[in-house]
Amino acid sequence: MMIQTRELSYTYPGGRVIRFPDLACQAGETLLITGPSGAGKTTLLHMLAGLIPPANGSVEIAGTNIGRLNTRNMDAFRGRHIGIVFQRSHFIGSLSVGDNLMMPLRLTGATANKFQLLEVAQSLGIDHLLHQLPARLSQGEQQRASIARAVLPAPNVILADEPTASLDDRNCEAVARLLSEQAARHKAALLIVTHDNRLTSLFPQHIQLT
Amino acid sequence: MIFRIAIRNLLHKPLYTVLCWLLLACSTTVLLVLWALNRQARQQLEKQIDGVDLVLGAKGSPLQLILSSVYHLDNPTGNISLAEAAPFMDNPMVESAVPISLGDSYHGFRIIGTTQAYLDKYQLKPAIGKVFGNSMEVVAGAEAARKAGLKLGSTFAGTHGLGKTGHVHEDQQYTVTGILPSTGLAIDQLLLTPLESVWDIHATHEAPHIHEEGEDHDHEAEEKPAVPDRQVTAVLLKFRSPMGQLTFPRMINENTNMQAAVPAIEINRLQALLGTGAKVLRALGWLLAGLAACSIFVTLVQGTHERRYELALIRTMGGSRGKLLSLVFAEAFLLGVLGVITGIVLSRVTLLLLQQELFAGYHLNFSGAMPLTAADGITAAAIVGACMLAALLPAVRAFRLNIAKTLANA
Repeated sequence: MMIQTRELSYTYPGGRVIRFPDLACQAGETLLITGPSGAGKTTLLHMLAGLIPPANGSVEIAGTNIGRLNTRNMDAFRGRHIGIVFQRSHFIGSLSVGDNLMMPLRLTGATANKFQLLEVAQSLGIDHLLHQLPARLSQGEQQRASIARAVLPAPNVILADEPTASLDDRNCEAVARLLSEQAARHKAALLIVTHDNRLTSLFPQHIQLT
Repeated sequence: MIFRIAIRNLLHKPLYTVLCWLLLACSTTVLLVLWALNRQARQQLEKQIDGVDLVLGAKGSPLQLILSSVYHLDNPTGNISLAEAAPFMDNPMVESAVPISLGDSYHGFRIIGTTQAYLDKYQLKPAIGKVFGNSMEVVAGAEAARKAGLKLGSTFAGTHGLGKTGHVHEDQQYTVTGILPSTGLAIDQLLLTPLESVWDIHATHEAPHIHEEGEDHDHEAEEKPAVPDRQVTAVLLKFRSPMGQLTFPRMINENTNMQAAVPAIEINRLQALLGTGAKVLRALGWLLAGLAACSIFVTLVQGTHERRYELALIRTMGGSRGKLLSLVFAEAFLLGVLGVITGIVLSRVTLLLLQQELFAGYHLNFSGAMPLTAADGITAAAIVGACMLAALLPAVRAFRLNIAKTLANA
């Protein structure tokens, strides 16, 4: 298993406790996690990414229990092994799209390969936009750029938080297809957290949060 | 990578960046120019009084006496009798005594009646021509010769008084016999002539002098009547022993009609007087630097708030908290260094422009003010340090950013 959780639970500052079902995902596979607003989808994603610690339980990614890592090592581990795609794509506004895509590689000290960048950008159809500033891109283009950024360091796990919520039907399907394609190509486990029903028909593996 | 992002972030907000940069550059310029002027003024003032331990002159303000006789800036206090000064000039404790006589000028350049000893004091020889020998011969300082267009053999008539206008002694023409090399001292702006020239010119203009019996002068060859009481404006004394420095001022101030002024004391007094103004200006410079630091603080606080998603993003992409810390510091550091370097360049340009003005007006030479000193380095480092201090709070805020919360509220 590329990613696996056991008896995860989280306590909100108010004292409310949410227990999450155990989940697991193989390399190259896609797991859809759905649920209504307030079901703890984003909380789960943040725990999977090691951004917040769980109250109980463990998250194991590529054989590493990430609960055992300190802040510094967690940051580095995240950069190397976890790619994240957000609902609204965020970029460093002052850097070009190309530089933004290379950021995770450069930040973790990996050798940044221009050919790799071009190849991924080509497969997502954004190779002509690499010199632009992110603000110049359309929503769909921005989402494709953040997919490129997530897959470029060849992570073990890709976490997508509502990747299609702000897209129209045509772009929604294209982005969902590209995401799973790229995940499969890079042999990464893909977890999509969403309340978007358009996606349930596209992905067979499906966990519902209540 | 961090530096690259820092540079791009600065370029991305050009207005804020330019504001901080200008404030920093201006404060650095003000501070460095003040340092340089202060330092150079002191050096120059001290260099001019080199070899003058005591000035003997008419009663009045001692500072005025020093300014007029050593720096050639103010009007003289009056004249003293050479006969009265003679015992002090011939005293065995005195190594050298240089009489000077002021009164006339040419194109605003002072004509100084003196002796060869004046040139010896500065160890100067004319660059071209020879030292004055007879009455009405002139050795011109480099600047005076250049600006007044005087060449070897030129003749000119002096103007009575030290201003540009006044009675012109048409009937008595000076002849230039030599031109001094440039020294950067007040002497560059002077026209030196024997004491006799001044006496000769004014003998015909002034009221008849009282003839006294027993006065002997060796000017019988001249046609004019021998002046019984020759006057000079001041005498510059240099002592052989420090005893002179101790005993002369009291002796002269208490027992004679003349006054003795010690240049070193007067210059310290002058600097103490001017020091207040310099202090105010320096405080203003630091105030500007403080403002610059404040603007950097505001820019960074605002920047880290506006870009908190970007900062959180850097964390999700594998950047550590230390990287965020150094990113904020890097922006402050880049601004600081850029501002200080610009300030250093601007300060040197300002000094270059000021130099001409100051030399003409105050006989102060600032060509030596150009090199940077340790004090300049400390000032520059202090300003960059202030920038880093201003970045401390925003940097710590970036360090402690709650990424999960920031991203959830996106």
